[in-house]
Amino acid sequence: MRTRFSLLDTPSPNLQLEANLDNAIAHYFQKRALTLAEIPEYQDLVQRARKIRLDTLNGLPSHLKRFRGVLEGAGVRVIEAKSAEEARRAVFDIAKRHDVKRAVKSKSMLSEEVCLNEFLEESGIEVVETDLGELIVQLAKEKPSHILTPCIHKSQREIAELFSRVFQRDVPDEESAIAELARVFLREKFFSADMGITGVNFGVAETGTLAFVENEGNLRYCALLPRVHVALMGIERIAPDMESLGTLLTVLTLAGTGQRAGAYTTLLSPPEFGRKAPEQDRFFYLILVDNGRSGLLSDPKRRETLACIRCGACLNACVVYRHIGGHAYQAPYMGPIGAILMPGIHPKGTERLGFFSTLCGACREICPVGIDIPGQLLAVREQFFHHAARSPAKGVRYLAFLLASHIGRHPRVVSLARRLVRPMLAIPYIEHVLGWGKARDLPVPASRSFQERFWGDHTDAA
Amino acid sequence: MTTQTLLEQFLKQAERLDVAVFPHGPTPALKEWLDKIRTATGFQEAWVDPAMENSPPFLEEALSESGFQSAFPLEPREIDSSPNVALGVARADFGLAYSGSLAFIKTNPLVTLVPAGLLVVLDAKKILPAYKELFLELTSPLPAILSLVTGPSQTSDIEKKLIKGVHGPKWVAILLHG
Ligand code: SF4
Repeated sequence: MRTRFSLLDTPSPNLQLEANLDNAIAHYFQKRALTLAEIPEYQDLVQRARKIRLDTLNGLPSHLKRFRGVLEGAGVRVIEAKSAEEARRAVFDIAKRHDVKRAVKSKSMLSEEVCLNEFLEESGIEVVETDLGELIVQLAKEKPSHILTPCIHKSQREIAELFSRVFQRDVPDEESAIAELARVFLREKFFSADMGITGVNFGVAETGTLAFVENEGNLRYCALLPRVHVALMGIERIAPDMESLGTLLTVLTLAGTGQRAGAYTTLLSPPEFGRKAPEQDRFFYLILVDNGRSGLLSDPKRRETLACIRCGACLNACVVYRHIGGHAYQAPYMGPIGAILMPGIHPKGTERLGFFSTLCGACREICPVGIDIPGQLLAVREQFFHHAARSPAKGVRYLAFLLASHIGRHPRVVSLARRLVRPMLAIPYIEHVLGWGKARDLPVPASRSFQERFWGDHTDAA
Repeated sequence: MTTQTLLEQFLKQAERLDVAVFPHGPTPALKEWLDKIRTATGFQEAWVDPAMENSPPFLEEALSESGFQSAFPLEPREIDSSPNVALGVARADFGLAYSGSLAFIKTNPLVTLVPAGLLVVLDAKKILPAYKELFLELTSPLPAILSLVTGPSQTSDIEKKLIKGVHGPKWVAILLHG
């Protein structure tokens, strides 16, 4: 099973990628602008949401204690998972206990983070993604490339071709035909599944309420139809009280999709919820996942990253994300939030993500909880250099940079190096051998340098 | 905010969400809407939420006129494995002016999710400004499930094109009274 993010099997981006992203993101900005134009108090809401999140993080241990206390007092089973391994194991144990053969799952980035699907499937449990975008990437054997729109990198034509191949029938290049096929396919899965797996948008410390937001209705199916419901929640996703929940729900959808509310918002609350489930021979488990979050929480410089409510807006605003797409990050979280969260919770192999940014600040502008993402990126970079300075490879790197700076001063030597490297990079699949090209294009140097072309053209003109 | 202002805001949001609003009565517009769903789905079954107190008397008639066979929903486990239900009928406990959302406390959420169309009875006096006021209305103990429906089920996962009815109802309408 692959649990190392750097080994995620992702396809190389194709020429269609940028066009697909541009098209989807342009739609997003249009819708968002239309909605926000009617909400003059939006910036006040953002400030309020920011305060709620930062205050909550400052007192997180006591909020969590209260939250757990209310749920457990009502008979809800709460499981603490310190690591990804513990989270996977907990879900698997529940599945075994209840003799689960098939699980239906709604979109949950946390489940991607802990590599849940791979683990369950290798253990013989069928896992069916039920969000349309997630289903598309699952059928394509890919990973999501956006927090909210997992298949944002795919065009409609590509999806129709995929469905035609998988379902062995001619699926027209029409969005409604694709969605109808998915609806019929998934409905049967919903009604025959033994277990539903969902994420949680927010947990309310004061009341133990669990809040879920979605647009399709698949989450509600996953939570309410199968006899077992397992919800995975990051320990930081706490709202202190119901009033704060209202503010967070409001900014979440405004920022994420430009909607005043998701089509379906579901709140499950103890004590009634805890009491009713066993009476109806139904089982509910909440898994509270830490997986590196406590480390971030204890670092005052980096704590702010945990304020994220996963709206996905910063991805849309990021010029780097829009050019390279989500797969290039080779991590479950991508874009600006991926670049600051991954090095915090899973530093191994992800520290370089801090450099996937121009530090233009567009992400900070758009963030509904006002996270200073550029500031966090600088902190990630600082951490990277701090580790690099202590690494044994430091001397080698220093010499390499020294050599490069010398070569750079001699155009003839640069030209010679370019000529030597060019044929090597033209060898098919060399980029995969080098590792760099697994999810990125490795550009081949131009046959003539700018200087050669410039002076050459001038000579021709003369 | 006055009841009238809240109602106006609610109606504006409902229109944006493509939710039809009919006055409380057997109007031709309601009949047309019911016929549309009956024809588009080809199914006859309508679920009427058993938690719906004071079901409007004209409704049963309107349903049967449009060719529906109404039935009370069963418990989730007893639901057929591929329910071809055309219409769900339920009473919303509250409406939210800010978003056009409908809030259900006693209704089985599957009634508002499984059918292709959803018809909701709403009292105009039960329209609240937004989440904050809704949460203040909830008394202790909180309802086991509070479900909010804001327009039809939808996705924009394919090239950001809006597709309605992907898992839940494609058509939503409100019968407004009070
Ligand atoms: S960092 Fe901010 S903008 Fe990015 S996903 Fe999180 S909340 Fe949204």
